[in-house]
Amino acid sequence: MDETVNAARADLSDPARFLRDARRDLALVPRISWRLFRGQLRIDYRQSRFPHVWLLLAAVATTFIVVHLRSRGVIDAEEGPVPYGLHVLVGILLWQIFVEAVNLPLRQLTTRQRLISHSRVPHEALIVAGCFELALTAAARVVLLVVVLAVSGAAPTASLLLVPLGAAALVLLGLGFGLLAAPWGLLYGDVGRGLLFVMALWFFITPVIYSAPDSVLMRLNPVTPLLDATRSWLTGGTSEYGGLLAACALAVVLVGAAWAVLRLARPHVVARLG
Amino acid sequence: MSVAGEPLLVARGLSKRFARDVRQARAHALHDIGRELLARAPSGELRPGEFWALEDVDLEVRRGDAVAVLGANGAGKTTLLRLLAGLLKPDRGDVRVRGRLEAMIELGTGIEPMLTGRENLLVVAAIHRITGAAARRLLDDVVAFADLEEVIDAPVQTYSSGMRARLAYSLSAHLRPDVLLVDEVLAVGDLAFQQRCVNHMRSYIAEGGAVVLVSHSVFHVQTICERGLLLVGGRVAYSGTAVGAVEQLFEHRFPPHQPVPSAPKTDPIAIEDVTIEPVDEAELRPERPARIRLRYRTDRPLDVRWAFSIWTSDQWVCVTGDADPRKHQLGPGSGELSCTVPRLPLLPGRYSIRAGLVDAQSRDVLAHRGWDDLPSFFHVRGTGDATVHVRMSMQQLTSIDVEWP
Repeated sequence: MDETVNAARADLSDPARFLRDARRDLALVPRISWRLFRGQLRIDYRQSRFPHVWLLLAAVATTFIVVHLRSRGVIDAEEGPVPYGLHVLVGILLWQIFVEAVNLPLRQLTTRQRLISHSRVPHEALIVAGCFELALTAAARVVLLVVVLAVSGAAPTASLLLVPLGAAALVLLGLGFGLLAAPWGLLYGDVGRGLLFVMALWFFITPVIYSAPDSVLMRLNPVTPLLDATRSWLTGGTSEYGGLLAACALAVVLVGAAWAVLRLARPHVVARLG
Repeated sequence: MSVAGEPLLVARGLSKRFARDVRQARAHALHDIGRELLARAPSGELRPGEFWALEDVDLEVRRGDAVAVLGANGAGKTTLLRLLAGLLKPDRGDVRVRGRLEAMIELGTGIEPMLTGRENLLVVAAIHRITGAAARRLLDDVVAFADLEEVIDAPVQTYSSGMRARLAYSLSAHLRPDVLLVDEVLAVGDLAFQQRCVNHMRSYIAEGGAVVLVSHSVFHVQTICERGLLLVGGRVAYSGTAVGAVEQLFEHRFPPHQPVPSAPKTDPIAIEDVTIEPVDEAELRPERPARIRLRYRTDRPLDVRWAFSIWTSDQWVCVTGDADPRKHQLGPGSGELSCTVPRLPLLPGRYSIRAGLVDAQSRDVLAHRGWDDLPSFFHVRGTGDATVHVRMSMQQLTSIDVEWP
């Protein structure tokens, strides 16, 4: 019979036990998160008359605004291998995937605050349930983009098959930052508000609506290679693999470290949620 | 107290500190997380603004045990349950749990109004780690138990609050873990459903389950639990039988009645004491005479009537009582009213007595004893009569005169 111990000691003082407990929880995550995801999907469907419209509306509207501003000379962006409007639409949709991944952990844990403070559901299950939702909307967006590209006359290439990997890497990187913010965000509302502010600034140092200029900020921005590469796989442009691999490695390390911090912080945060 | 069965849950020196000030509490959380990341154990000392919500609590629960945790609001009952459930981390001490533990700390956690009853049951079952075929099997039992067959496929937002509570409770009740922690969630639904819940809980215990029950319902505590723990200010004030814990709870809840040196200026009369004592014997015994005395103090002439009532020691059941039909003219100063019960109709056990004085004309209550303060407790001793023992085992309280043909 399994024995669980809840003691007044630091979890990292016995790393083997920490990993064993984590493994036991993680084993439960797929089934719980899948059930939560299905439940949430039904709720979303029942509460929305036009659920599919919201997938693209913001991106399409922003694209029109940006294209209009460029035509008036407000934005100075060079024409690339694909029409500028398409370039912006792809960039915004990919950026949205990243932003939603950043916001996901804190949003999932905040909306289910009563659940995490009154039941032993693994917090990871709530986050993975959110990831299923994100994967669904991301997949729908990518499929719609492919359709838009086909309609606009772009020839499909084999690199399209790499797009899901690029989107997954963007999600992973976003999740890493989101997980890092989550425990502090549950304690202080400033973190959620700060996150909105940071993402707004981050948008401008990421080549979403223009091509990446060669600057230090752009080079240090891990979203740049992921977004550029995924966009190039969609639109048939070229991509730089060194930065891409470094960004992927950073995403993996960040998710692992942030998950460990969230797990260690969990009982201390729950104690203050009431 | 049951000692049979293997220990499933052992808590030693369990302590948890909290700060009431939200900003301070969150600042302490940052400090705690910092220590956790540096692999340093909690300091175990109070920091500014903190108090011990729970301090040095020991508890052992074995298979087949049902332990009631009693205490006033804020005594630390829910904190204890959340520590036992592993939701909180202790600041001192530890909890060891062998086997599967489930906690019903807040009824309806995880229930979504937009989902149907059936969909909600599957989600909540998953949260409690039951999925697939096991969840579907569980579903049928739960729906039948909750008596919600006709509405189970309707969204929960269309349910009445009673139906929602029945849905939530029924699932939790059917989880059947090794140890079940229950926080004040048995009093749901109508009386018939509550009775079904209690019976279900008792059968779960009889089949080897173990329960730690937090409840303010003396009825539930005494019906389900054998053992009891009383928490006062986060510390264990009593550990023993459930009946003993209930008695101790009342003694802590109602401050002992202090002799009144003189009637307060605003009250016309005060009851100083109410006693029941044997007549011509050393101890009260069933069917023997007893005398009830009420001592009062007043600062003015009054016309009063008086009454008494005898209650079980847990204050849950009023066994009997009577009111003097005559009017009494009282003069200023101290005095005594009394009556004789020629044949005390109580079976052996511990009881309490309350009394009240009313204005003879208006029947307004002038003073009472045992409602807002501690009543007087007394013992009725046994006579060694085997018939009495049988009647006591049937939880009878009184005897009546019967003429058998």
